[in-house]
Amino acid sequence: MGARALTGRPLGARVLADSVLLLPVAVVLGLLAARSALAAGASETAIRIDLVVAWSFAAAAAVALSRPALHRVGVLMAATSATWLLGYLQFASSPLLWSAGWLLAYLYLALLTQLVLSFPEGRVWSPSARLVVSATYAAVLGTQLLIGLYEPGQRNLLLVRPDQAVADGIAQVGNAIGLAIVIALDVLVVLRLIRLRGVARRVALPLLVAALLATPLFALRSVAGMQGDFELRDRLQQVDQATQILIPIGFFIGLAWSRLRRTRASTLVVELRKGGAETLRDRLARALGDPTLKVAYWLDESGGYVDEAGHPLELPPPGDRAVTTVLAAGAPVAALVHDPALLDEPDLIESVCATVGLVLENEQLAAEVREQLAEVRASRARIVAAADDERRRLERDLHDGAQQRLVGLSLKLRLAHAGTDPATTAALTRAQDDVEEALSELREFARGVHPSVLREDGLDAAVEALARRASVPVDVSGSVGMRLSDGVELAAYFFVSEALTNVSKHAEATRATVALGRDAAALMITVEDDGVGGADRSRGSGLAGLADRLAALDGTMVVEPVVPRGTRLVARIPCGS
Amino acid sequence: MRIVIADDAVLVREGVARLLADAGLEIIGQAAEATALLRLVREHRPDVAIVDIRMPPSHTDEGLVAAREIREHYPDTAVLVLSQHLEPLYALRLIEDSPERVGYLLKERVGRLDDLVDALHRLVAGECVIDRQVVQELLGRRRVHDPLAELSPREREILELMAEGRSNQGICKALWLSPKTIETHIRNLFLKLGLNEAPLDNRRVLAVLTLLKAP
Repeated sequence: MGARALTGRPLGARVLADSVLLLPVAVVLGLLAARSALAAGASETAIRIDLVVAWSFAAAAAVALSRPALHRVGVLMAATSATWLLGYLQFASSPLLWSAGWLLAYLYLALLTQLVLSFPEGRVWSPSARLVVSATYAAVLGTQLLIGLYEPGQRNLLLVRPDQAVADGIAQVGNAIGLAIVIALDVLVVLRLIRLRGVARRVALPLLVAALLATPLFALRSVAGMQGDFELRDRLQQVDQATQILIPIGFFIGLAWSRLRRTRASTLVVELRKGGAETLRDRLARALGDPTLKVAYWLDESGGYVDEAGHPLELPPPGDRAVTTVLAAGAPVAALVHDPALLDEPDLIESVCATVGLVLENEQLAAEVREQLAEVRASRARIVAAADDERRRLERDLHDGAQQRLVGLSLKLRLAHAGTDPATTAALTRAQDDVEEALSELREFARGVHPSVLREDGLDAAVEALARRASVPVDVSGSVGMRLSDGVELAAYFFVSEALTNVSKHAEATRATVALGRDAAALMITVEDDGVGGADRSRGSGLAGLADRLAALDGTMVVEPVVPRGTRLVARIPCGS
Repeated sequence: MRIVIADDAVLVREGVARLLADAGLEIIGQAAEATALLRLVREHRPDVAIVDIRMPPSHTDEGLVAAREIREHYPDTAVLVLSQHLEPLYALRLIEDSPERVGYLLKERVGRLDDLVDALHRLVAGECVIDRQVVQELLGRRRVHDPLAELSPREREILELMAEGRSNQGICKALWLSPKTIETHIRNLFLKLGLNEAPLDNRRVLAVLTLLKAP
């Protein structure tokens, strides 16, 4: 991608920005330079060191270029690698090449300075850093140019007036400037290390520390040069150049470190689902290595973001903080407000966003389901309560309406006896019998609709009445001892009623027991028989309907077998008394 | 016999009044609810008050409450509670203070003039009257350890009549047996039920009912 973006630029620039071309070109050029240096009788050790360092930078550059966020750094590294061996031009016999080699021999130092002072964004950190970078370029080029004016040599095209003393003097000053620059660089790096936080610190730390480690030798070399001991200076230069390999190594360490974290990011899904005391924000902050991270949740109702406590949150303008929006099902669900350094790791951000999106979408769905469930439960409770009210009303209507009329009818039939013949009297009496039969049936029906004994005397009396009317002997133990809410009493009553009906209908039982009990939170009812068992909720609608009625009150029902034979039904109804 | 009738259903109230008047009983007042009933009782001191169990305002057990109040304050007035409920609990609540001069009949009995008049006479005579169907409801209870299982059919018959509030004499009449035979049966019966000291007349109704009520 980077290569494509740079198409149209000069070939050299294109190679420097191409992660694939870079390495072979660097190797070939390096070998060419080494051959000419060897031919000119240069030190083999020095050549080996230079090649290793130059290729290390090229390798680091190739890796950096393959990652969009590190592209600028990659270009700088490639340039450092390319300029590392420019001094070797001085082994050429051509005066032009020699002079170019002379002039650009220390350009790599300026590129190195720029690389360090702009790592990892690739943009020089600050105005003061820019000043140092500019000074370095001026110094490495200017010093060589000035010395070149006086440095005696046959291939030196820059030579104006051969004068070794002036050249040496200028070199001494140049070394002093170099010392000053390297001190300034160290100060900037240390300040940077102090100020860096979180992710950015972790990415940059190894390379910046490597730069710090490499500088003392350069300082030493500069001091030697300042004092005119050029022989010591050049010997130190070899060691100094070798230590610069620390910089690509630092780069790789930083990269590995962030890769390590990306591995952790891939386990984020597992982490985030664990829950626990840590909030989502805390877990994200840990996974991303950014303690300053904030999570803003999108609220559709208000059309804005809120923090975890639900307080409205303004997203900061771009700059100090970066904002990444988390999408779920195409709509924003949250925004991460984080350290801009994280943007250098788009993969990490992407995987975190995907995970957070999943988690938040999941939470949103779960919340919706919870809400709907609560609504359904409430409506179920209302439906049952409404049905109970209706039963109560119906029972009362039967008593006050139909029953009274039938009693009145019976009276009328009896009053009609007066003055009738025996046959008519007998017919009237039979009609009266029918009315009484109807009343009896009506009474049974009314009791099934809503037992008055439950309403007036409570559960204990009503259960006793149920036991009395059961077709098998029933023992009742325990008691409730108090009145409960209408809904609870009715549910409990129907539970016992249905359970005893089941016993007589299906169980082939010889006896049954009903146990009533209550603790602070709930009413417990157990109905047990010694029948054939096999009761389950699906058999008939009786038990299933019971379970629904109990569930409407947040109650539960358990059906379990009794050893050696029989069935036990246990109902638990919260009564909050 | 001077009677007051309380029932919020005019049809029933008027019907009962006419029926009883035709049978030669004196109806001295009618009320549609408990307060009016109590006023009638206070003013006329009737021999019997016939009271519907459900009356305004709540249509639950106002009649029962009024009955107990009448029994407490006007001991000479007997109370017959007419009820739609077969449930023995109401009958038991009526007799738990004192089983004298109180009766509990299912409402449809008002059409059976002979039964009704008989009950009224027994009440005025100081007896206790419990609807036979209510007694059967009590005795019909099947128990795991049923004390009634040991009773002979005859003894069971006598127990039912006792529970309805019949005196020994009444039982003799109903079963065509001699008082001596009845007494022997009752002694055996109480022995089997663990009620060794046989209480007199209405006391024993209470005892019997209480025994049967126990689970």
